[in-house]
Amino acid sequence: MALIKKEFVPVVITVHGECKDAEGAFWKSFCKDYAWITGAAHGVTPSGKVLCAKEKQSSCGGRSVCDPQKALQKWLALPEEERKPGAVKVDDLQEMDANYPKRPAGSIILKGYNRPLDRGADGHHKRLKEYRDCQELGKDDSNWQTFKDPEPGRVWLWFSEEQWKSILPREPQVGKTTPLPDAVADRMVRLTLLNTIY
Amino acid sequence: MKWMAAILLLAAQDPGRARPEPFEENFALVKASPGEARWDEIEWTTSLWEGRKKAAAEGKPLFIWAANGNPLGLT
Repeated sequence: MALIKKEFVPVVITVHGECKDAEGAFWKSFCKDYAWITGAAHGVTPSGKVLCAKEKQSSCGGRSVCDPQKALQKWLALPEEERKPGAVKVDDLQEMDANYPKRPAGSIILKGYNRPLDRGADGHHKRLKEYRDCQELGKDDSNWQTFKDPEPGRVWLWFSEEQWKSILPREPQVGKTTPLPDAVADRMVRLTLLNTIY
Repeated sequence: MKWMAAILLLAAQDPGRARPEPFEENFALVKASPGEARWDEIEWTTSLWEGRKKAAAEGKPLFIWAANGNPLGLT
């Protein structure tokens, strides 16, 4: 982690389709099979040159993970002229794909976490040591995997200004609870937390 | 998630056994413990373009983590 922090600019993105703007074109320039990605990591120069040891492994399909140490070695092997600050000119992004979801003005984000728990013999919750889940479709319709010591899943739930104002108590007080309408609770618990990332 | 659903169902069916626990206790169980999710200690840039601009200006390569469900949860 220290290597990534110090030597790279770390970027995390969601890819769920083609982004029709300069950002999408940059992505497509080095990520040929970009339409389906699951947990892939890439080392790339600002000009779009792939830095991973084997270029095919850094393509966007599957679960390829780029070794940051090897990517750094490849970066350092490039000519100084390609690496020095300002060697690549990157202008501001003038236009974004209109289909890119934009956070509405006045909205808030509720950050949520979830993790599979079990109830111990003492009646208290405890973390599961192992967790089995169907991750993706396979030949037999499902592909079950076992995860050891699963990290919490995370989800960001957007509420428009109109939505959050509709559930805010008239006189909010610290520590005071208030019931949520069923539709809101349903959206938060059933429609969001049940489809998250582990 | 099926375990979670099962726990919620159990709570509805057997209130004597699945008594409510303090929110803080469950929250601490669910959230990552210190050092558990080391990737979360990295200050990730969430815009590929802004990351590219920064990398070009600082003379660094990009390390891109891409998924069809954002690892940070911001979907």
